[in-house]
Amino acid sequence: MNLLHIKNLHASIDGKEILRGVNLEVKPGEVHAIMGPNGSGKSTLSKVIAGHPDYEVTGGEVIYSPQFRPKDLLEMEPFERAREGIFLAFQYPVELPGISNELFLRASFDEICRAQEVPLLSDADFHALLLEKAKLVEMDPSFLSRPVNLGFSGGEKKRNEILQMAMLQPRVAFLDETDSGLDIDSLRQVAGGVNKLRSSSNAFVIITHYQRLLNYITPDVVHVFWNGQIIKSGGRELALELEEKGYDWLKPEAQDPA
Amino acid sequence: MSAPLSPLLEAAAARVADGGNRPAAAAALERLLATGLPTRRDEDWRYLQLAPLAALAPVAGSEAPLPELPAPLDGELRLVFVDGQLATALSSPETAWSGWRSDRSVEPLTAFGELAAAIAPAAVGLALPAGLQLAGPLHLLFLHTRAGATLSGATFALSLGRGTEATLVESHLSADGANGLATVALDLTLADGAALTHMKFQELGRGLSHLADTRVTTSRDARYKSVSLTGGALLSRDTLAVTVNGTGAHTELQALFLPGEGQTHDHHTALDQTQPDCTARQVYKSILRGNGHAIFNGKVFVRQAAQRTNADQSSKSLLLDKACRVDAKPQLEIFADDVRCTHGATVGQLDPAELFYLMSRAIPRSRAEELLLHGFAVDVLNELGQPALLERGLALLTRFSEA
Ligand SMILES: Nc1ncnc2c1ncn2[C@@H]1O[C@H](COP(=O)(O)OP(=O)(O)OP(=O)(O)O)[C@@H](O)[C@H]1O
Ligand SMILES: [Mg+2]
Repeated sequence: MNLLHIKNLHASIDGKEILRGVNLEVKPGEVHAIMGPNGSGKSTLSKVIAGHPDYEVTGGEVIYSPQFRPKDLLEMEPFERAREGIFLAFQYPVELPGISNELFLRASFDEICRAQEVPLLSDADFHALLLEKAKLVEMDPSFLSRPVNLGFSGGEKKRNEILQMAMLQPRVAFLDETDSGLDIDSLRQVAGGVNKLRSSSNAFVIITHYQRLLNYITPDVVHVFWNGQIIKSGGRELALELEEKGYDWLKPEAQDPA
Repeated sequence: MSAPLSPLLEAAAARVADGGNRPAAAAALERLLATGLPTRRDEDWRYLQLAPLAALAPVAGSEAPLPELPAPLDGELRLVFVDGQLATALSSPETAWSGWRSDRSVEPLTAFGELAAAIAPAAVGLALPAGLQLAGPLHLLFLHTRAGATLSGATFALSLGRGTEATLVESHLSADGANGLATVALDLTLADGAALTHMKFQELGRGLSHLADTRVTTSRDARYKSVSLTGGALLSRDTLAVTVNGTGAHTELQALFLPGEGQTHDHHTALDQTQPDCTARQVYKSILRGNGHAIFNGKVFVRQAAQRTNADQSSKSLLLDKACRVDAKPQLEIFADDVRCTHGATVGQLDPAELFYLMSRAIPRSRAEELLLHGFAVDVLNELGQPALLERGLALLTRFSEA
């Protein structure tokens, strides 16, 4: 059974259509990679899945089935999607002045505990868990008391997204260019973090421009996104081919000159 | 003056007479009658609805039970004023503080301060001698218990001797149903090297209007720090004037004001730097809801002698609704040439990107807003220092964000 099933999804912003019929099936345990040119709509897809209010869904549906109970994802509020296990690592993480990373994660973690009807952790237990996860993503604990993302370097912000993911243990995580801006060691550490979080019950959709990340996180499927659609899907080798040849050869015009 | 007095001023005159014409009260009344109450035509009062206050015909009012009082702070010396009257039964034993009693009278800043000084049942004041170390903060509680159009006034004078360090906490609280006009005038002086941390919680009910004067005079190497939280009252006006009369002094003024539906919170401050080599920092923040109205007027004077003054002022407002209104006016007047002064005022709204980021992490909208309000206010709240006071500040903010 699919964990996430996107069917013919159309979405626009300010009246401009960006997603033009996206189809994607994600099964538990899978890792999908999405590659595609700038402006093709990859971030739009991830934001529509997370429930960003600026986008209007004009067609299609998204069925999300955590624990084999299908839900109409598009009917859910953003916080409900997150509670149910949808996670988006933002391409551009947002700064939250005055809110410490720890307070932020505590608020978020508590909501998820409440939704799953598990007891809340004591402050000490929560802090210990947070330190453990910080270690998993190799983040210095001093970042926990700083305001969320404020003054973080580009790479530190990306790593902070992965820390949040490690704490919230989502079922479906979209990672939007989490590798962009990471140095070589950081890329390896962040990928290592993702690999440790992989399991047979969760899935990842990794948006990237560089096949290098896929050396560390081996995808089951690679998709090519172009002009608001997935126009080709293939195995790991497709990413290598894209790196070599670019995207032009895949465009519908190139294939069908009529 | 030939025109008949308004019922309010008439009542003030009657109370001065009832109190045996104490010289300080009589002098305050004389000044008050000479100037009259301000009106909207006065620049410093133009945003306030003063007519209902000036037209008040005060009554004694019926007594309501006392409001719930905050738990004593560690080692505090408590002085409780009930409707302006010092209530010895509710205060710390007189033996704990009678040795420091002072009869220095306050010097009000505004006509409402003069009103407070005229009608205050007694002049209360303390002079803490040089080197005195109090066991805890000095806690002034101003309680309002009477329903009906009541008028109350209280004054308090505090003098800190050379090098004396103290914390002053002011709590303004009211019983359910209490209403009327509550005036208060404080006069604080700091001798050389003295340090005062002054925290004010204005948490009155909506039936009351709060008009407060605070005059502060500091000397060489003195440190005065004020943290003022304004949550209550229908109309709240704080007039704070700090005159720095010595070199090397440091002044820090912080405020968080939270006008909600129907409320007006006005902070007028004046910082007068008269001597060289002083530093000052001012951060005034407001969060507004409904048709709440925040007014900030921050004057900074740097006199010609006050070379090398280093002073920053910032005012920030966060508007949660379309009907809110902010009038913020920084006013720097610099007569010295070698100074570093900055000021800035910003008015903003909740950032939708920040809200979405929080919601994408499972946090419902109302809680996300609460976190953003907390993030906005936290630097002021952190200045409260002590956990018990920080908790009280946080509770005030939570009540506002849940309203
Ligand atoms: N408010 C808007 N009005 C019109 N077009 C918009 C608006 N917001 C975004 N777009 C457009 O939507 C398109 C898709 O953007 P999106 O961020 O999804 O691309 P992307 O595939 O993630 O690109 P990149 O690889 O550069 O991150 C872009 O052409 C962008 O300019
Ligand atoms: Mg993008």
